[in-house]
Amino acid sequence: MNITLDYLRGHKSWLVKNFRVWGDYFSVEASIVFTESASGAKRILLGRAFLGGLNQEVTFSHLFDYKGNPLPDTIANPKVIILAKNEVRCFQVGSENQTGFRIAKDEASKTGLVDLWIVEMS
Amino acid sequence: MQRLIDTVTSFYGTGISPQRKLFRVKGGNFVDRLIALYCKDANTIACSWSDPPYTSWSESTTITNGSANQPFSAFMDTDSNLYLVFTAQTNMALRFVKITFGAGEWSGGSPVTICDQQDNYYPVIIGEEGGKLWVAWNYFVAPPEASHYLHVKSSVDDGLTWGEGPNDPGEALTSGYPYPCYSSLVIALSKLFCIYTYNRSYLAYRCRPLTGGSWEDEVGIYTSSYINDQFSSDSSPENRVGVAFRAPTVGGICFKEYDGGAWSGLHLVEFEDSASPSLRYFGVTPYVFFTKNYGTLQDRLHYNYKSGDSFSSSEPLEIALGLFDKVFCYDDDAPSKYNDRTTEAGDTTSADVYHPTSGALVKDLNDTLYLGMEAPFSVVHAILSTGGTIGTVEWQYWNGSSWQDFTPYSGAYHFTGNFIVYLWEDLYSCPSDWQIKSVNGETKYWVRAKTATPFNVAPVGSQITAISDADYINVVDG
Repeated sequence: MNITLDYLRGHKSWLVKNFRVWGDYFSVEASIVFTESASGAKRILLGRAFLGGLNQEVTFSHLFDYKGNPLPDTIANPKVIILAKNEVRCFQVGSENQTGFRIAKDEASKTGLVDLWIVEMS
Repeated sequence: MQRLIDTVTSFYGTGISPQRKLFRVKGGNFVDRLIALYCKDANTIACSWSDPPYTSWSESTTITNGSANQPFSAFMDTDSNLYLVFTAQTNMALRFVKITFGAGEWSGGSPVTICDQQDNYYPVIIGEEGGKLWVAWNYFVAPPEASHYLHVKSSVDDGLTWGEGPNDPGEALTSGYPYPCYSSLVIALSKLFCIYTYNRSYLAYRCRPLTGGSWEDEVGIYTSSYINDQFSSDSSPENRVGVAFRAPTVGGICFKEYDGGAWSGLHLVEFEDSASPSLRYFGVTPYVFFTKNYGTLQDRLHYNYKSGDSFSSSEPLEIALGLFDKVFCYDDDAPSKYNDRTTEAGDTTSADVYHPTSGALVKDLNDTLYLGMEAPFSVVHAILSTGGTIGTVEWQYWNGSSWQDFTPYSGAYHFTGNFIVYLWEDLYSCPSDWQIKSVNGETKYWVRAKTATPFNVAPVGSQITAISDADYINVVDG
């Protein structure tokens, strides 16, 4: 019995071919909490911004699999496997969430080319 | 992206620059969860947390309702437990509470009194790798002495007892002065650094080895009049200690760095009117976040980082919360209906935002103020030289096929006086169907205020921007 194959067969997966990676690893993602004085009350806000480089956020709903079918808007417990197709090293930055993930390359002057295998784990 | 976490009535909200209020879980099943701590009202410290992508925040949870309306600070250990120090409501004692993290939840313990002598303000806390906790704070001796000292105290039993108990005021790191001391604690170079300002004049530090021993003599970092709580410190992976501070004698925010041998020269981070610095190292690069003033109660988040030997020009954190890219006053009766007032809306000159025919922002039926940006925005900050009476406007945005009426999130506003109009709850909550449109040859995201009832006294603007009044910045990486 092939346990791994059974495991994988129990879950949906999508193959996205020839995905171009332009995000920079060296961009910085900062989270900032601050107070805004409004007319009357004060507001506590979170600000988030990518600083110092190009940020590439990938949204599942913007992807198409190799058959041309769109991916769903949300994927429960997704796992993204990056399959390199050129010499530029590409990798995921941080964790996936149910709507997407962040991807980057480590060479500023080149664009990465990868296939993405996206698996719904549950 | 900006997301509203909570609305509060406390004085300090997220507190002063040397203190810390935002933390990230660094491992385990809840990795990257953020928790924000803040003063909810005059007596309550609360927290709220969120998971990536941080668009949905938990209901606020009360940590204590025995706090004075004063800023507090916290520290997160490697197990994501939180250690808080705050000023007690009734007797201005210094108190501590540990918030334990387990199964994705933070749960509070019982507060412990660190010091109940005199009045105690502006505490900061840090933990050594072995678990020893340190707190530093302003210790105010009541009149007739009326002096402020910087005190420190430690605990080796996870905060259950501090020094010799509540009667023990701890160790004084400074002499007594007429004005308050503010401090931050940083661990680097196998030492604990206490960086502080005192008597509104001096920025300095003392340090002690983590292996034990006494505090070394004070070393001055900078001298400036009116230097106070406007500073922030951090340590880098290269074991450098950085401090960003506002020095009124320079007129802006500065940065200095210590490599264990000597302090660097003075770096200018931002020359112009700026405040609330918050320093964090991202990798080995120091980033300084701060607010930059654009006019009355218009303080915008900016950042700058050290590139090579110096800091370059600062950048705003959000392009959509700045000066409008285009402002038109439209007068339905004028021979030239659209009048470009973009420059006038961005500067602080009084009474210069109006249509030349009507002499007003809006006046008669169908007169319209158009506000345009390259990106969706959420704030209209109106500074008026003349407030309108009687008249009303309808607020509208372009939904792709028509001008859609809406009531601003902050309530109806008809240019009656100076006001920060929150169009939506926050930047994240902009309408999903808001689309760009060409108005008078300019393609932007537009919001317009169209006169529905003519004004008796018509409003005239001095400055109209998308900048709110930000303060009390705290930063965390990732």
